[in-house]
Amino acid sequence: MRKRVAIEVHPERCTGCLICQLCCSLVHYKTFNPSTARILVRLAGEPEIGFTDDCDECGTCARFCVYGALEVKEVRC
Amino acid sequence: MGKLGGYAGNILYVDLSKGEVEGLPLDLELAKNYIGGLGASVKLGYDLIKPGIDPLSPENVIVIGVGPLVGTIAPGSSRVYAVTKLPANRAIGWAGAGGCSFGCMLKNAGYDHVVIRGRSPKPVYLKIFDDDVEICYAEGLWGKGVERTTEELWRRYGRPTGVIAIGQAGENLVNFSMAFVDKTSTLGRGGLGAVMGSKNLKAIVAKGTKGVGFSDAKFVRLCNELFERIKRYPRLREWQELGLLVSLPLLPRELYLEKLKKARISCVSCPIGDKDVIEIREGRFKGLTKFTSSAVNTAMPTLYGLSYDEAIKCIAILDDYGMDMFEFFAVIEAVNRLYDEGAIAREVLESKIEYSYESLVEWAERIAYRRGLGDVLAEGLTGLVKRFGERAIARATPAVKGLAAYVGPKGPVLWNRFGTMEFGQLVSPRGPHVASSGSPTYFAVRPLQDFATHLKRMGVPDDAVKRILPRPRDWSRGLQSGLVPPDEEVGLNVGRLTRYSEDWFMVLASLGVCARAQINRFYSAKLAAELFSALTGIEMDERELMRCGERAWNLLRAANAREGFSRKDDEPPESWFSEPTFVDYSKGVVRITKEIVDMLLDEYYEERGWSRNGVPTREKLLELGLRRVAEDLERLGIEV
Repeated sequence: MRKRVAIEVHPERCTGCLICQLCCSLVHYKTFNPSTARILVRLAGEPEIGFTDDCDECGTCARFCVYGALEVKEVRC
Repeated sequence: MGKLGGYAGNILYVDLSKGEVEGLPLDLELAKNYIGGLGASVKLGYDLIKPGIDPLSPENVIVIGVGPLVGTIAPGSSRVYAVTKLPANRAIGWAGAGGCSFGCMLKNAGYDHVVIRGRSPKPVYLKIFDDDVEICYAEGLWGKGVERTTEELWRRYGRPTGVIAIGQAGENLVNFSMAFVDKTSTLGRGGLGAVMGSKNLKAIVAKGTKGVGFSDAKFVRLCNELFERIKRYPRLREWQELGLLVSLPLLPRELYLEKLKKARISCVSCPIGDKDVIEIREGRFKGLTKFTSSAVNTAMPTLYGLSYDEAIKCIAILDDYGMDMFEFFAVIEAVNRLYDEGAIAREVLESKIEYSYESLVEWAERIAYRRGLGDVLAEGLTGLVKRFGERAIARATPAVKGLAAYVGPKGPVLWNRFGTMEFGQLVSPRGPHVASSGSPTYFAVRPLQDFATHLKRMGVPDDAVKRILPRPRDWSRGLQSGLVPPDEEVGLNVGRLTRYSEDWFMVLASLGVCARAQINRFYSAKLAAELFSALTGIEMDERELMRCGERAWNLLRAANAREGFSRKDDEPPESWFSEPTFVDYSKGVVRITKEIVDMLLDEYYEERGWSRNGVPTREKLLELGLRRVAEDLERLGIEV
């Protein structure tokens, strides 16, 4: 069973690289596909970041975010 | 082709004259021999663009390509390339851009390439949404600038829809018009915008949901390791914060950070995020928000005396017209020199073009809409040559293959070391371009010991390393001819190095990886081969991968030989040899003379296995498996 994490979101740091979506789809569906990602990045205007209901808080998106827009804050069991 | 990782596996063929679209499978041999992206686009262009055609005729073809790494998490792999015959100089050229979201979305829609032919009877845009591919009428878009066109398409289709769009300059066939990706990245110096305009093609939009697969989980592990290395890199934060301003400080840092920077933006998968959203917060242009491939570009007009806010607004206007800013300023400079020489009658131009904001913006408009003398300027330097003669233009501006040299020893920015970027402007088949011959010489003079590491990273063979980094006494030809003082250590053969820089660029461009130094530096030929093999399932070692790059570069050169290009077109601008001149790269002491450039050209051709006339030889073409190309050149009677 995967550990679940708490993810802190800083949308103002997001540059729209979509690495989070690519990693999310990779972990869950074994393919790089932003349209299936459980993290949602809205680029119009100021960036907005959200999660779908089936996000299992695995934290992969945050571990790959190089801009600090997503940060792993605490590990839950 | 069976499903390989990385590739979408399809090429979309679009005939705008007939209004037809058709998806056909990607040929496995194309992938194996040319990787994809730029390399495969060169191959498709060679096969589809008939020699001698008019670049603005329906016969011209635009081939768009995204490499196998595009759409994956390989860092900085978003590049989009286009190959077409350029109107500015009639070369078979390529255009390359940071793909923003376009590259990833085109791949997700299910295509590695788009091939566009013909001419639509009415203005249209091409919509590529998975299997929903449609040529749509561009009513309400034609006549608009890049900004409004892109925003309107995003309003219709949402983001992250990728958009390639042209402005009024492309519509009106300005020779130096470009296309813009997501209104940010520039695509197509030399007139891709005009080629799209000639086809009545306003824009291409792409969005997809098909995903990109991989063959071996090793690909994911390699990407993980690469990300970890990048995260540990000490200068990462500085690059993320400042982008190209780190190496090209055209804007004071404080001004940028405190008054202009609104956000950094990335192409998909880029960990550097060196594109900018600039916002002017006070003064005359308060409220202007501008997407740009670099804040450095928006500051460029300050070199002509404009204030920062005027400069940014001026570039915003040029970008919105879809006009190449470098060529715009080169054309203005050339006109002013012609005026000084009395070559332009006073009744044609009353006075010199002023470098004021108002004047430049007025001329941009005249050019974009081809009003008055703007109609002549819209033809670019080649147009000025036709009107005023070759000698006059040669005196007026440093140009190569009909396009202004990016960098020279007399430019507003001091850039006088003769490295591969400077030399590469001469030999690039498409005309002056610096990224394709980049190496550690990018923007900064690097110590020679860095080159040994760099050459190894690019997979340069040991015997070539010895030729590129000779001991001083090995610089025999130069010493014998008295061109290089025997007591000075030059130590770096820029001509020979350029060959490998270009091959490495072609490999990155074919994979889809950004060639900017900040990304390029984390890749090696060995790693690239491992990533390619694990991703696609096509086993390839670093030697064979570099061979693919070399093959594509030779094919591009052959495509241009077919158009009549040869050594005569690689000649340096004569103004480079009057004071102040370039000086040698490593020591900065030897003046670069015409004789030295000729020697470097000889050595570059020799390292490439080309003739002294700068044409790929039959032997080289056969060695690369390009027998049919050798036969094409022979049949056309191309003088090798």
